[in-house]
Amino acid sequence: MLLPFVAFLVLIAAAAGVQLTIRMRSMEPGGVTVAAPVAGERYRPMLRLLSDEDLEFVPSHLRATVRADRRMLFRRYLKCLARDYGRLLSGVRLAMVRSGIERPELARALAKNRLLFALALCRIEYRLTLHAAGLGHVDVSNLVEALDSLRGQVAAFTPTAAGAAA
Amino acid sequence: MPHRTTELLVTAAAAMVAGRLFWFGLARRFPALLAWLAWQMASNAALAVLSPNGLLYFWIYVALLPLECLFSLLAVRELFALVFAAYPGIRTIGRWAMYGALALSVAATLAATQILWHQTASGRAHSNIYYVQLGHRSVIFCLAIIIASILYSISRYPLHLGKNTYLSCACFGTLFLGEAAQSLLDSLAPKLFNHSIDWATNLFVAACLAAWALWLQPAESAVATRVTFASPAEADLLQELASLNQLLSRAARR
Repeated sequence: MLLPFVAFLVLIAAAAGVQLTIRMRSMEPGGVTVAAPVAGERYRPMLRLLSDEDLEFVPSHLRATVRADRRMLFRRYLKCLARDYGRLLSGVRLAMVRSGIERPELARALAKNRLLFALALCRIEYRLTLHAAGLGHVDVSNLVEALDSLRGQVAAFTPTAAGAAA
Repeated sequence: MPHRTTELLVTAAAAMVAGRLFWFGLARRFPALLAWLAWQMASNAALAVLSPNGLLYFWIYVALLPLECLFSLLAVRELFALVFAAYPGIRTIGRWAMYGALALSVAATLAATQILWHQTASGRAHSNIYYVQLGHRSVIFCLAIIIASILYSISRYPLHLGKNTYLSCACFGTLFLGEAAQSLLDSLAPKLFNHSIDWATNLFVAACLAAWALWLQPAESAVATRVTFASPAEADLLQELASLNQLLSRAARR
């Protein structure tokens, strides 16, 4: 009785590990890119994509199709978000490579950040799967605040990047 | 006689690499590698002139195993010391990769020893040299995994490592894995050795060393560009990464 349970747990852990690895790999930049400012505006439509409010105006027989289409779009936005994250990651890595001294604090911060981002991607994917099954929903309405702060940081970053390039 | 021929082939191949190192003016840059090659030449030449069935051969072999570990360790240490001297900012990454590789290789060695415990019973009963071989195999295997791990972890960074560095890593990794496999197979034999496997390994090592000698290139003058990156820029980048994380976390929370 115990063995199948342990095997099940190991299987779950392995699947979670594989999922996390895939997410972490999806964040890797394709090549060496210079960190560009993240366009916060690009992610604004994400906020409403999975909201149920708009669906009130959709005929009930079309709701499932609309929800599926919107989930697909949401996933595309997530992919873009991961790509932007990869660009920023590339910028931090370049800073580490160019550093004349050892940067343990930067390495720690980066490792922690990557792990959290990958975990968040996994969690969202899990929520989207539940959403597809009609169980629960992905409420992204409170992303507004985070997006605003992101845009603020992008604005703050732009002159610095220009300075660094100069 | 395959034993003598294969040992002399390894000696000749190691001499070729050492010769090319001198030819390209790399000998001063890689003193530990040169020492490792000199040790390869000396040990294989010594084993070539002795009969593998003699007592002297046995004791020289026993004495050479820890020395091989030591020279290999120093050569690998030198290789990565040169890499991280050029890029001090990623030393932490290299250290983490090494710790991870160490843990992984120790776990793999313990698992392999446990799994093959019954199959190696006759070898253990035959001689205590089994434990010396086990120690040697563990160190060599560990070095191979460390090389692969460090190389993999730093491959994500925009570095400009010389071709000789990649070549050395590939050759060391291949050689160490080959020797670890040979040691593992030897430990399964009733008398803890298998001539066919030993000769095949010698040929493999000679081929690797010959390839190393052929592909070795002159010293590169490329120097890593050292640009002082403003710390606010790093802080901004990290803040942005954190912000993206926050964004996702909020979406996932509900």
